[in-house]
Amino acid sequence: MPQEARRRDRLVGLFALGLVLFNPPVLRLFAGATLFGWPLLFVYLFCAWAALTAMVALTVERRRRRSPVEKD
Amino acid sequence: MLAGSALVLLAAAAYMALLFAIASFGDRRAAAGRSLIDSSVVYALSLAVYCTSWTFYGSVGRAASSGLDFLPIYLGPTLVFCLGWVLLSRILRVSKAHRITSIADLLASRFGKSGAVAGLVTIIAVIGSVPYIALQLKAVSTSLKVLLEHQGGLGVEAVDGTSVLRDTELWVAGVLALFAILFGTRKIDASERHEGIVAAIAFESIVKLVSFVAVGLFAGLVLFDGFGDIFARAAARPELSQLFDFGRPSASIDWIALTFLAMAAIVCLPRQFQVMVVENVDPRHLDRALWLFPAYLIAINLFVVPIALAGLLSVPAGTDPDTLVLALPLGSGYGKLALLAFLGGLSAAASMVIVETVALSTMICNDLAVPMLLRLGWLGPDTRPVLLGIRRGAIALVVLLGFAYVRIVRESYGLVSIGLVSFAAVAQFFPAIIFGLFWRRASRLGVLTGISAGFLVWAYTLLLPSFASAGWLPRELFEQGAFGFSVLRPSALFGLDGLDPVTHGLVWSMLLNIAGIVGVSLFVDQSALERSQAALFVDYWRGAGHEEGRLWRGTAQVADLVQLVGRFLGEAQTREAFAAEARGRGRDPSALAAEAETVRLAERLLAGAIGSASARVMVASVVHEEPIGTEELMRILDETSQAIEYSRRLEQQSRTLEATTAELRRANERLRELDRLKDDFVSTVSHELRTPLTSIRSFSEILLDNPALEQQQRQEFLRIIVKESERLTRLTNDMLDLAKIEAGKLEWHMERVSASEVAREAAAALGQLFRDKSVKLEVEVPDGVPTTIADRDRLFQVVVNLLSNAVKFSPRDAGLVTLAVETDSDGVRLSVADNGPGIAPTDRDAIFERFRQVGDTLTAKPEGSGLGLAISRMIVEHFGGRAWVEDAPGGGAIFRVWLPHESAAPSAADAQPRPRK
Repeated sequence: MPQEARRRDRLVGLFALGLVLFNPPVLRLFAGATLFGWPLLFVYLFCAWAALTAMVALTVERRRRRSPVEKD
Repeated sequence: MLAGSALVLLAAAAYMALLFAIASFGDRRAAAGRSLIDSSVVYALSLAVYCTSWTFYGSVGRAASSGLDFLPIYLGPTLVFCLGWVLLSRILRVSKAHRITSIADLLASRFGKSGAVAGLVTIIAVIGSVPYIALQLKAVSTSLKVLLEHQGGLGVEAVDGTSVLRDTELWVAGVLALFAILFGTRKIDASERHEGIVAAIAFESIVKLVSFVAVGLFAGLVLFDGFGDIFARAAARPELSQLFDFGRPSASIDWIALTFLAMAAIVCLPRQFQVMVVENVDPRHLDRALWLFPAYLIAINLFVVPIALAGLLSVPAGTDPDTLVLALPLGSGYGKLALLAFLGGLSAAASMVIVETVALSTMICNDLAVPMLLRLGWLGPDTRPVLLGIRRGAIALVVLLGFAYVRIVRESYGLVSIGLVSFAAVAQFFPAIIFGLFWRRASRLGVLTGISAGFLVWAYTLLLPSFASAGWLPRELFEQGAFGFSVLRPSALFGLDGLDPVTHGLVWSMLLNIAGIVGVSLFVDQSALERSQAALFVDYWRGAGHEEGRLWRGTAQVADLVQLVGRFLGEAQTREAFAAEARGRGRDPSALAAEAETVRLAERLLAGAIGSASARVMVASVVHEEPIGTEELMRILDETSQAIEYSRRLEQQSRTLEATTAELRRANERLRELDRLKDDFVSTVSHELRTPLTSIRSFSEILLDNPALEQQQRQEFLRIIVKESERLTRLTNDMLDLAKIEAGKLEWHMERVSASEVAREAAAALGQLFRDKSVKLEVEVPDGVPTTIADRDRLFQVVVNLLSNAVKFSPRDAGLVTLAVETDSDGVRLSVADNGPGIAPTDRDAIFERFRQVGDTLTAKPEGSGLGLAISRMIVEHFGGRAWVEDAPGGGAIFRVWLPHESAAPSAADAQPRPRK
């Protein structure tokens, strides 16, 4: 099932993306600053978190829609 | 007027009653076959048991003291869920296939159904979980205390609540234990699923999310002028704004360590394993949970920072930061909201305690008690009451231990610190799980070494200091190190200083843990059982699961097996399971033989009830397993290599087939080409025949129509008619010859022939033609040329053809044709050179084809039939020689014929005269 495998690989890719997004050197870029008075690090972390989860949702749910009857 | 404490206790009691109702409703629905929890949303909500009172109260406390440091605990699970289809679904499916009922069972089963691994993991899990359970009890009593101290905020009369408080923890512990016992140990079942509990947990997840979000919104929208306002005011105070600058020296390494810790915990925590794997109704639910659960985590964490900041800004200094969720609404007079928040925290604590104790009781019963009872031989014929009793006792024991811990270590550690210490203990299973699932060679001994080493380091660096700070152990240990060696200080082992205690403990324990697993596994061989279990777990995706029965051989009686399993699962349930298996294999239930699959079934059923390690011991007591001999292994190996051989041969044949197809295609193309050539030939021949016929016919008609034609003219016309007729005859003869040669029907009179003689005769015969055309013919034919085997007349025909061809293309008057015969080492070479226009290199092959005349055939009338050279070449080739054309030295063309010596003639058969017909 190449389609399945591709989705699985995409999720692993998202895992790697998550490792990068939530890594201290990246976080330091946002530390200490503010955005419209909100702490930038706080805003960044939750935005990145939500985006990552949304991408997981897109990846997983698209699969569901295309093949409502899964065999495995 | 109702007393504050009474109101709070009433609410708590009502809430617990509601939980009991939900759980019992869930169980009833499950019994009726209409599962309440068969949904991916409920599954995701039950996973949120991860968010305990530690999340509810502790995150705010941690955020108040060190900013965003609480987030890695939730980012870690998010990352692990990205690996859902690689890691989680693998654990899920492997566990379903092997009826695994706990994390201890998973590791034991993977590492050769080892009782030692199961026991070790259980002990560590219990030791690691007790502080965590204590933490929940403490959180409930603390929150209750805060609520009662602020009774003014509840709008009720203040009473002295200390009498109630003294025993709160005991009460809470008792009620939760009762709940776990009622719904967690209802029956011994091969699947170990508790739908009622899961339904209650899912409900509690909603309650804690709603109440926390409510407090968050209240803080932002009621207490302050929007969340921007909170942040703006916090920014004005330096001690608050520095929470977001990631400034501590070890912030980075702590962040990474916490993320890793949380990643390990979400997989290894007994309660997470319970809800994620054991209670899972359908593996497909995991798909949606992959994003729903992280989404839940985001939602419940979104307001942590605003609540913490709002608390710090508005609550009087000195308030315990772990109670800010309650203090915030209480301090501003919103008693009902505080009550809701209290119920949220109660849910969080209750769900954790319930699931954790049920999971631990399964582990204690299956992996500690049953093996011990087996060894002592204390198991009666019907074991179910015994097992249920053990489990109930285990739940009570674990809760009691938690209660004792809370009494002993009271107040010394913050909520988060206790939680992290607990996480670090179960994280010791993480390397074993990862290596176990992905590295086939990870061995039982390696895992035992790694986990023990990691656990000892954990105990030394994280557990002992908590005892020391509680006054149980001398403080000198903590400050100076064991035996006074400062390199052994628990907080800075081997001089590794400057890290957070949890990070420090995690680094050392993981280092030794992983080193133990990898190092020992590399140097110690696995047993046969370990190897086969490793293959089942690691190669699960390749369908290795179906091969299980092949590596087993033994003898057993079905009746023995049924009786054995019946002791644990009940007679009726067991018979039904065996009958279902027989039907699944298309057999009559009474005719089920005790073959490998049947024994596996018994072991699987038992594994569901008492764990794989114990199940193996039990089954082994009625089955006489014969070790698989070398011969048997060789046979299996043989079959495999045979299959490989077959596939290799098949490949080879398909390659051959391809080659044959290509050959056929080429042959077909050649046939089409020949067909086309034949058509060309027919049309060319018709054309060639029509030309002389037309001229004969037209001159004959002139003669017929004009009887008065002059005698001279009449003669002229008749001569043309004769000449054209001759041409026609020649053409027909040539074509007949050609057809005969091609069909192999020509009669050959093969004999010993001297090429020189034939050459001289041909030159003499054509002398008149040369003289007519004023072309000079030079004959250079030596004597004594070796003879060849040929048909004299045909060879003569060839030479005549070549000579007449030469004279045709030689210039009139100045023409010079040379006929020469030479010998070389193995043949005779006969050549005819002219000084005509010559033949372009590209045409040199073409002129030997039929009807191919070189030059412009439209303007120059062709002389000859166009078949001479083709016939000549065929004749020569029949004699075993070759015919070709080259450039003559003085311009023009030189046609050469080479014939082999008599001795080198092609073959006897061809050389013999064919019989005349």
